[in-house]
Formats: sequence, C-alpha cells, structure tokens
Amino acid sequence: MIKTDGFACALKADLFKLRKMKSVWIGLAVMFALMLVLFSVCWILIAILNKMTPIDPSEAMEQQSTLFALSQLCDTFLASFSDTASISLFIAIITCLFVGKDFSNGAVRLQVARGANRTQLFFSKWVTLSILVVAYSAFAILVCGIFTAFNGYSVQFTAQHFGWLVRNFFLQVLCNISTMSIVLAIAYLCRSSGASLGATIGGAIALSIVFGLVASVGALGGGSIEWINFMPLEQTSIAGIMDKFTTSQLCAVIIMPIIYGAIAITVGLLSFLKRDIK
Amino acid sequence: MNAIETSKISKSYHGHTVLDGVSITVREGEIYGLVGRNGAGKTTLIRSILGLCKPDMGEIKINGALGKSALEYERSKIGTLIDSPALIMHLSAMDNMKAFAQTFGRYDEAKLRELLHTVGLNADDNLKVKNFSLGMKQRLAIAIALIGEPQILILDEPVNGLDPAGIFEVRELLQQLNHDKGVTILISSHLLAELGKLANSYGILEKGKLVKELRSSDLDELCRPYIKVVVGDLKVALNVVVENYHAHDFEILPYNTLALYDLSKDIPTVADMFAKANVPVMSIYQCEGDLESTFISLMGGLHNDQN
Repeated sequence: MIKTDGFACALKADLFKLRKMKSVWIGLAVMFALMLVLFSVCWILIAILNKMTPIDPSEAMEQQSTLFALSQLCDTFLASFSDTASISLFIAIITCLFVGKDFSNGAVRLQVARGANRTQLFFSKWVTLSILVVAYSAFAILVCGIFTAFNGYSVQFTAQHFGWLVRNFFLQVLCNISTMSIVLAIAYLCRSSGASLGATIGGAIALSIVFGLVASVGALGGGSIEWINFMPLEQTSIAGIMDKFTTSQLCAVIIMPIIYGAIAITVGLLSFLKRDIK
Repeated sequence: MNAIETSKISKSYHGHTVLDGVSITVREGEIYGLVGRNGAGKTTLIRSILGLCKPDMGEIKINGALGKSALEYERSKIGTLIDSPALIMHLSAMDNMKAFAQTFGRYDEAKLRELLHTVGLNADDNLKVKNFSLGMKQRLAIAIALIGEPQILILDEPVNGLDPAGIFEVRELLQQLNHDKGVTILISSHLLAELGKLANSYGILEKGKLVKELRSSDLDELCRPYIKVVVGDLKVALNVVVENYHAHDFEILPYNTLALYDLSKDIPTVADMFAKANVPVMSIYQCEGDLESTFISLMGGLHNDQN
C-alpha cells in the first residue's frame, strides 16, 4: 500500500464536505440579501430626496448634505464590506457546524482510527475555513463594489482610495481568519455544533457588553478608549477605515489578529491532540 | 506474524479502571472475537488499538510496528467500524464513500461503486443518509470500512441493527474477505452465537481484565455435549462414576450436579448404574454444546453488574 499525503487527502475531503454543506450556500444567499437591503434603503432614501423640491436655499443645503451623507454611507458599506455582509457571523456559524458535525457523526473518530495525523486534520480544517473566509470576503467586496457603482462614489474615486480598499480587503480577511481561528478553537474544545455555537455567541455577547461598559465608563472619565482596538474580535471595524492608519491602529489591525489567531490555533490543536476521541 | 499485539494495556477514567493489564494477540489471517458483557472494556481496548484513546500503561503493536508514526502508518491499512456508524448525514451513500475515500487517499470511483454494491446499496441512489434505516447505515459503515482494501478489519458490534438476512450477509462477507484475501479481523459482538460462527480465536474480557484467550478448538472442547445428572448424594455418585463408569472426563457442577462428557453409554445405562448403587437421581438428560452458556460461564456466570 502506498503512503499517502495525509494533509492533502484531508484537505481534499474537507473541501468536498464544505462544498456539500447547505449552510455555506445559505450563508452566501443571506449575505447577498443583507447587502441588498442595506444598499436599497440608501438608494430609496436618495431617490426620495432627489424628487423633493427644496422651498428655500437652507433646505436645499440640508438636502444636499443629507444626500452626501447617504452617499458616504454607501462608501462605508463598501469599505467595511465584512461588517456589511456580517461575514464573521456566518463564518462562526459554519465553523461550529463544520467541526461539530464531524465530531458528532464520528467522521473524526474514523479518520484518526485510519491513521490520519491529528495535526494534519486540524490544519486541514483551518485551511478549508480560511479558504471560505477569502471566498466570502471576495464575494462581499464584489457585491458591495457593484452596488456602490450604481450610485457612484461620494467623492472622486482615486488610486489612493483603491489602494485603501485593497488594503482593507486583506486586513478584513486577516481579522476574519483570526475570528474563525478563535471559533475553531472553541469548536475543538466543545466538540459539538450546539455547544460551540452557544459558547461562541455567549462569549461574543459577554465580550461586547464588558468592552462597551468599560469603554463608556472610561470615556466619561475622560480616558482614552483606544485600548479597545487591541481586544479580541475588535479589529474588523478598524480595517474598514478608508484613511491612513495611525501607528496604534496599524499595530492593532495587523499584530493583534495574528496574536489572537496563533493563541487560538495553539489551544484548539492542543485540545485535539491531548484529549481522547469519543 | 502477529497482526495486532497489545501488552499489559491499562486505562482508567476518573479513577475507574476500564482496562487492567490486557494483553491480546491477534495472528495474521485470523478472526479474533472479543467477548465480554457491557462495560467489560471491549470498546476501550479497540479504541486504544486504533489510537482514539491513549492507554495509561502498556504497549500496542500493529504488524510489528511500534511508535506513534509507525502506528499511524499501519492504522492507515486498517478498516474500522466503531460504536455507531460514522456517517455524514446530509450526504448520499456515494458522497459519503467519496468523502471518506478522499480522506484515506483511496479514491477510486469504480471501486467505491463496487463496494456499495457488495453491501447491497445503490451507488446512484441520491437518498441522504439521514433518511436511511439503521440497517442501511450499518451496511454503508461496513462499505466505508472496506475502502482501500484493508488488510486488518476492526469491527465493534458490526451487525447491530441488521435483520437476520443482513447478519447472514455480513458474516458471509467477512468470512469471504478472511478466506479469499487473508484479511485479519478483530470483532466484538454481543451476539455470542453469531461470533461463534465467525471467529477462530477468542479473547474474553471481564471487568477490564482478559479472563481467557482461546482458539475455536478449545471452545469446541468446552462446548461438547454431555449428560447432566442431578444426584441425591454427590460423594457416592462420584465413586460410582469413577469405579463403575470408569469415567475420567467429567465435571462437578453446582447443586449436586455432574456433567459426564463420555457419551459411550446412553442415558438409561447411566441411570441404571446409579440405581444399582442406590444413588438417588433427581434428573438426567443430555445437554447439547451451548456456545452462549460456555461464554457466560467463562465470563464468570450470570451475575448482576453491580456485584
């Protein structure tokens, strides 16, 4: 019998299973619907405002500024395409289902029993889900780009804007891969779809409440809230800014996802390597 | 050469010993049956062999290989079915075969179709596995275990959920694989009679310990027919058996009962012999070799698991 490349085989099988997962395609459809709804609201408001005839110059000015704000909102939807399409939410759900199901239906048990290396199996899942993050991000930026083009960019779209958009794409992919790694670790710790979904949603809500409260108290006291940029799952919003980053923002958006991702991968992998498979 | 060898395997969970120094030897080309009541440690032993749980102590060799990476390689040649069938519920039978074949690096569509046909499933049926009956799932799990023409099969309760015809077909299939392709099979089952028809070596587990390892010839010996006599006075009856019956092949059972394995004399002759010696005979009858009772007596008889 020939010794096979375990990682390549596991990756092939994982990609096949992911392709056959209904949730992946449902996620894509819902993402599209979300983006369509958000842009549609803006388009409808813009159309209504355009049809309105201002009575005096002050109302005309107010109308123009509202139109500009709505147009800028569309730009923001494009720049923060990841948040617009709620990619991290869909990735978290799919990660929990993808890993949890493999544990609950015995597929992981069977793979390990047939000599598959656990490290290879873990990284095969990580690579598969990273590919999904890239695919979802590419889809979201493409759809947001097309929708923004309908109405036109609020200002002259320059090469600098294009550069920022490309930068934001890669940074948002990085942030979402980091988020996916954290959820993957939770899924490997829980080993069931339901438990990992519950833990992920509960954890995310708890984190947002804690950060929100601490930031509010800090802001009231006149303190800086920039530290929040360095907390887990908080980097995607920075990666949506269409401007030059400060050093602190740059550090938060590049280094923190890598650190959180690496910690999550280590925890998930160790949990998979050390614990017995039921 | 030994296909599987475990040496003094021990495993405990939260202070409860599940396996206690179990050493079994499965020779190449044999069908080895693991027998034991629920909680005896059969599944834990199988899981240890397959690397799903790490024994606290002891050593496992597969085809003579020892060590993590060597064992991983040898395990890639093992077909397995453990506990409930490992199946991807939202896929069809063929898609399940494809997914697992890709993972094992043994993708060959024609062979996958052939395997499904062998276990009586249709490769072109798009019915999802979640809609399968228990028997169909079990058949599919067996087909998955056979992907890549494994040289060793490790099956934990493989006929669970199958109807009598299905059990017969699986037995035929396993015997055929063992006979024609020399596949070594380690199998555990609660259906002791079924196991008796299949295996040629047995390991009997009780409370995490290997009570006995025996070959089918040993089992045949234990299962041979005998005359069972319940007598009034065991001491006198024993004298009669040794002096008058000249029997040396007998066994003393509980409750003044004798088992006479020498069947050269028929029941009336034996009864007459005891009558002449004034030994009261309460009952006398011939017992056929019963595999289940033999296994149960080897496992320590019928008793409450709590005791």
